[in-house]
Amino acid sequence: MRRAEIRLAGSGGQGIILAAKVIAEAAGIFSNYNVLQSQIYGAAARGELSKADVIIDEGDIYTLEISAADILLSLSQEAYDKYSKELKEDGKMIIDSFYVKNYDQLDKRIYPFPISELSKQLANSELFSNMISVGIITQMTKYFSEESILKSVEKNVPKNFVEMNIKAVKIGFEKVAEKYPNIC
Amino acid sequence: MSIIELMSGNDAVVKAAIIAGCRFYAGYPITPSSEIAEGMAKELPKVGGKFIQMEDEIGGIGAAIGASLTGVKSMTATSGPGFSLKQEHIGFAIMGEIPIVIVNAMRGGPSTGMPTYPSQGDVMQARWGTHGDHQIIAFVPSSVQETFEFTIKAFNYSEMYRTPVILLTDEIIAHMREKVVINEVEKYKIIDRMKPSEKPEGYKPFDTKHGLVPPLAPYGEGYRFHITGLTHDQTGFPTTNHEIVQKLQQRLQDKILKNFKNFEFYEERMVEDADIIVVAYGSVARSAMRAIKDARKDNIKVGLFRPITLWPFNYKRIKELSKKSKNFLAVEMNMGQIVGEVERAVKGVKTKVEFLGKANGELISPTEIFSKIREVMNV
Repeated sequence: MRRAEIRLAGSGGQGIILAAKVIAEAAGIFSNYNVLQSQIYGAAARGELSKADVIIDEGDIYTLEISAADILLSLSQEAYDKYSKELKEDGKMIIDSFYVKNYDQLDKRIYPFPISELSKQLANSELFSNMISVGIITQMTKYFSEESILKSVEKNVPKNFVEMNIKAVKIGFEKVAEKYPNIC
Repeated sequence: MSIIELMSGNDAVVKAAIIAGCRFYAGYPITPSSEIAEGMAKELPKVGGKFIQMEDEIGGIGAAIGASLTGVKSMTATSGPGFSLKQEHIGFAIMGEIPIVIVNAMRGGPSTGMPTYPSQGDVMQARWGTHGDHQIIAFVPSSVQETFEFTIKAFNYSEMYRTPVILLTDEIIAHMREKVVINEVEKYKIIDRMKPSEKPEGYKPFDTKHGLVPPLAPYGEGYRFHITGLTHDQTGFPTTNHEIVQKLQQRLQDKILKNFKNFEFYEERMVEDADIIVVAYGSVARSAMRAIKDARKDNIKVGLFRPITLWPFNYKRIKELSKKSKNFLAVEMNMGQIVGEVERAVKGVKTKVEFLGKANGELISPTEIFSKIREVMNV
């Protein structure tokens, strides 16, 4: 595969960094690509804008930063406002339609999903928004297999929560299949 | 079987230090190096090692030096302002010939500067931060894998030459996660310091009959000896005898410079036919690799010289390259530090040395380097 640049953005506390790590290991450890994962350090406290990047490539990775993303996840309005301009022409943006109300309805690159609502249906909490997003990204991009991402989830989340997180990822898979069957 | 793990540069330092045999860490957490302290606090107790968070960075390196004198491989890690604080003790470790590893994850400076953004502003501080004439070994890795490997090497050369070794990373290398291949522990060459073969009564801690690096006895095993920051004779007691002092200075210099070929690490790419050679190190070298590949596609004959051993500086190799290439371009995340060493290396040769640098906390991008190459080559 050619270089793919994924940016995950949301509010501190939404589990963005864990999601990035799960994606990076799915591609790097369980699918044998080169990966580079980085994130903003510093002021990202709970509720503030948080961002994590994953670069996946078959070859060596020399450009360490993302200038325009192939895949952008926006879990908050602030994330959308800040990063939506840094999406490639042929990129895809996944938004949580519950939090991102103000977006360009005509932009064909935007794929809205009620991510946090789905999480609430699953567990009465928004805790699983990140893993539902991971499932959506896996299915939309096909950068790596479903098997790789499930193994990565199993490795990276606390033991007691593996089952729930896997359920969340699978909800992500299903929603893409339902809503955008031509992508699958 | 080897395993592959996704880890940050800081994680790699921790993992490698444990494999290298580090069993003592003392320090004071500071961004962007804090995960090293965090990781050592977690990992050391599992292997019977000790972790101490000291009152400040000076205490951190002081405790590491003390622990090392008992025969335990020791490390401290810090960043920018903390590295400044450690300088006096680095000098003490050089003079006392005490093996320790110091990691400096470089961030923007001077002073507290920009804690969460990268820089390469401490490369000269690594060389000349402590006072007096001295030599120092410093490595500057460009990837997480290299950070892992050169942490082990830092311990090895520190033990081998009884000297502090500095590992210079930066905020980018420290925090980014990449794949690291880790072999079985037995596959790594681990070097331990030479211990004395003579009985405690006859032992001299700076005995030159053993050559450039005298064996070091661990405190606590019956060997009683004196270590001081003052100039000293072979027994370790202070002397101002000019002849003895000059010999000591010479040996301290020789043990590093005359052994340079043993730890002279660098990478070259496409330098053979190059009209211009980019000199870059650390995270910036990654951008440089992209830039030279792109420039080659445009038929610009550009190569890369990437020092991994930053100190002692490889003047000899640069001089050799300067006979092939008409231009050098030093690229660094500072306002111009290593560029001065490149100029020194090419003295007397008709090679131009250009510079691209910035110190605003942004990584220099491949595009910026490519544009500068075009500008210098006038294409």
